[in-house]
Amino acid sequence: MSRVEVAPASELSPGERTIVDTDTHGEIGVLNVEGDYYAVKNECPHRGGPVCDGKVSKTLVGEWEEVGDRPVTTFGDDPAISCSWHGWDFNLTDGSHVGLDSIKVPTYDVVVEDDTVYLDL
Amino acid sequence: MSDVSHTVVDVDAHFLDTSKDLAAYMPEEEPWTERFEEARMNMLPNPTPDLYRGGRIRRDDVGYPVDHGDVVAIQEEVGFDKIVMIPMAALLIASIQADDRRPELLARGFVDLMLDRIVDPDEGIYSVIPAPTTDPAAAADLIDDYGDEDGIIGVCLGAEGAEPPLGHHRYDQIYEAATNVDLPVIVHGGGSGLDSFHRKGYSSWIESHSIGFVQTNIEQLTSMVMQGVTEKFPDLDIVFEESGVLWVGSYMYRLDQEYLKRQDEAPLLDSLPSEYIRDSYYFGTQPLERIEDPEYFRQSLDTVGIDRFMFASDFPHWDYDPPSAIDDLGILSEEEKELLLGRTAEGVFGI
Repeated sequence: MSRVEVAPASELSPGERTIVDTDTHGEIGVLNVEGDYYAVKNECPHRGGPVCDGKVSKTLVGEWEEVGDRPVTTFGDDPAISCSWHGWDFNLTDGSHVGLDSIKVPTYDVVVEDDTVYLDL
Repeated sequence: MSDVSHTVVDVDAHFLDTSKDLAAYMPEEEPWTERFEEARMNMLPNPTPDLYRGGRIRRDDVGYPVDHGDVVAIQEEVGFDKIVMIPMAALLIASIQADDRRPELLARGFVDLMLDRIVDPDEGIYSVIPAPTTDPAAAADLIDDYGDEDGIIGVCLGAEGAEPPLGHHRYDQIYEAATNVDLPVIVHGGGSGLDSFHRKGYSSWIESHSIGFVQTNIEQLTSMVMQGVTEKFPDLDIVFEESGVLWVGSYMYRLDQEYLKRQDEAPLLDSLPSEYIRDSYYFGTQPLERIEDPEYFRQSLDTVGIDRFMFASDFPHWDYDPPSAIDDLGILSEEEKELLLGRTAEGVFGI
């Protein structure tokens, strides 16, 4: 395992992201979403698009209560990132495609030590 | 008699329910009854062009059954051990957008007529409830009223004219009613030659017949799968009829690729559209496409699953497929032929 320095924690506040070009794993996006850090390979398994440039949002959940009701869509709890090329959505926690979890974008461990954000690869 | 050795279930044979026939089963005090009795012109949408190509197509060997004996004779002649009679007129009720009771009365008249004169489970003769999609509440009432009748084995929805499409929540009550009486839903393609195509400028039957049945079934399959009809009603089986077999696999993958790009627009789905199709949807075989490459044909069936297809004849229409058409494919084992010719349909329709 190797450790790669990403940025001082102060430069990666909630809502911010950065992309690190690593020697061993290529480009990796590191994101702070509401105080939690996520790291995702910046290459969509679909067509190689820049996943980590994509919009981050909560996954949508559909519910249907009763016969004759229109299904209702609400935001769920899990953050996902949408590849901006074709809209493939990935759960940030494990990199699985929201619609088909056998499709995955690689994710990595993020650690914060001494106010510095690192990737453990 | 067919020389096919397996039990043959034809899930799509047609009965010509004329206005006068149906009027005889409508309430006397109902004003529409008189109009159907006395109708000198069509009360339903009708194809414009000449189906029989100026006399070049002639099928003197086949004709619509009129009574019970005719159906038995057809079964013996063509080799249908069990036959599901689908209406002709009442199939078009989804195309009546007028805000009146015609669709409901036609449907009710059809079921009464079939139960009185035709349906006979002992002889393997069955029929369906042609539920009016223009009036889902009336459709649900019909299913409640007739769904437990012996020999009524499905709820039939016309694919053409069902707008909004069949995944819309306004049809929930139809699916709920069907589930309550444990009946599958048949979606029967339509559109060939009807005025809507010719108004658009399609020139002839060859164009509208190529497009119509497949297009209308694709429209309804897309809506039903993406809106999660079988997520809402997991016990419901849905059978699409009269659009052949080869399109299903390729279109299924199209649905999958759309889903992967925008699954949040189908929020009730938990898995790929193809998984829903493989779990809950079935497809009648007629009209079987020409086989140029048996391997391609075989692969196309396997993509969806052999157990998703059921033999359908479309008898007595000019392009009907006899049971031997399944044998003629030359790509199925005896066990698969048995499945496709009858066993799958027997399970789905409980016959």
